[in-house]
Amino acid sequence: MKWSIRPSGAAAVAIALLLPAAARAQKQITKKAPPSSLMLLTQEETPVSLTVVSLPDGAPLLGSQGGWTLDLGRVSYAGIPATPNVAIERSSGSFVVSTEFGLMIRDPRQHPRTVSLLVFLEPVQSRVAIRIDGVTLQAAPQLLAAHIPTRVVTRHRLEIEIPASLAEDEKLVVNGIELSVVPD
Amino acid sequence: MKRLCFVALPVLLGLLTPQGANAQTTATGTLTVSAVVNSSISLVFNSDPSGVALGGSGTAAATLTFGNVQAFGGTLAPGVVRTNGTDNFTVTSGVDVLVKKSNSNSPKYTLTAQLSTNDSTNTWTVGGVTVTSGSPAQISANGLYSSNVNFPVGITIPNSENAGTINNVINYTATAN
Repeated sequence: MKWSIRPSGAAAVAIALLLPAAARAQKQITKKAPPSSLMLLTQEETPVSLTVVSLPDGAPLLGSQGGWTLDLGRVSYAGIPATPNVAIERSSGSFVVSTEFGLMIRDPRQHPRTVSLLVFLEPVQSRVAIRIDGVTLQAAPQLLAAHIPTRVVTRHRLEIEIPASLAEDEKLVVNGIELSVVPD
Repeated sequence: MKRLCFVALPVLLGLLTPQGANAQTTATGTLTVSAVVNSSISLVFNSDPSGVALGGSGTAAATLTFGNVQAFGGTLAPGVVRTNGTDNFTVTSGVDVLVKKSNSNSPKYTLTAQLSTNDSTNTWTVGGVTVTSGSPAQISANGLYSSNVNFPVGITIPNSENAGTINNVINYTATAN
């Protein structure tokens, strides 16, 4: 989105209606100020976009802009994961399935900036614990990281802790890891 | 009029600022994760308090070292029990087997054991059951999960056997019932 003060146009007309004196003043400025001065008044608010990307040592990633799926395949406490780049750590009473994925924040602005990454879970999973970079996901948005540079792929670790009591052969689908980026 | 120009500029800026300019622009995405949870069981060997301390205790590949044994006299390693027969002697040691289950409704497990290499001279037992290399011998049909169960390992050695070293590998298999 781009906003700029132009010497003429609908915006100027509206202002003239609201502030007749100001409109006259602007008219005066338009006459005197060089074009370069007008450019200084330009205010840009360009949107960033978020993309989940697969990593060479991460689990296969499916999907497109706005929605992606990481398929971890068949996992078990004692077995070896069938899906490449999926790891299992065992502890008493549960096991943790993990993999890596990347995030790319695209930013059309000329000058690089940083963003904050928020994450939350919708709906909340009560049977398993889901963590990204060690942060356990909840219904409320949580700050995962701040000052993330745009235009580079950042690396993140997904972990799902599965209790030994979970029923066998259950297809576990966590369908609501919501990621949100906010420019710093 | 000239003074008004300088006052008006900030006012113009304020009016032209987009409604949400102070509310930061965000980008969102949704990540779905899928997996299928399979049932599994695991088996490890633990040193039994009454038996020989295992090498690799707590793992699925342990070593039981009886040390020097003889039919009569001598000093046996801690945890080794010797019994003498008419023309042979047997050395035994307690060995704990720990089987755990995960994501399974199985109530019990079946345990079998089999010698890796045929031994036509000595007799090997696990939990009192003779094991050979020919086929798996059933050691237990009702094993308790998540509990150390002592299945003593024994070797019966004929008195007529020449002195020497005895080695073998016993392969254990636990199967969920």
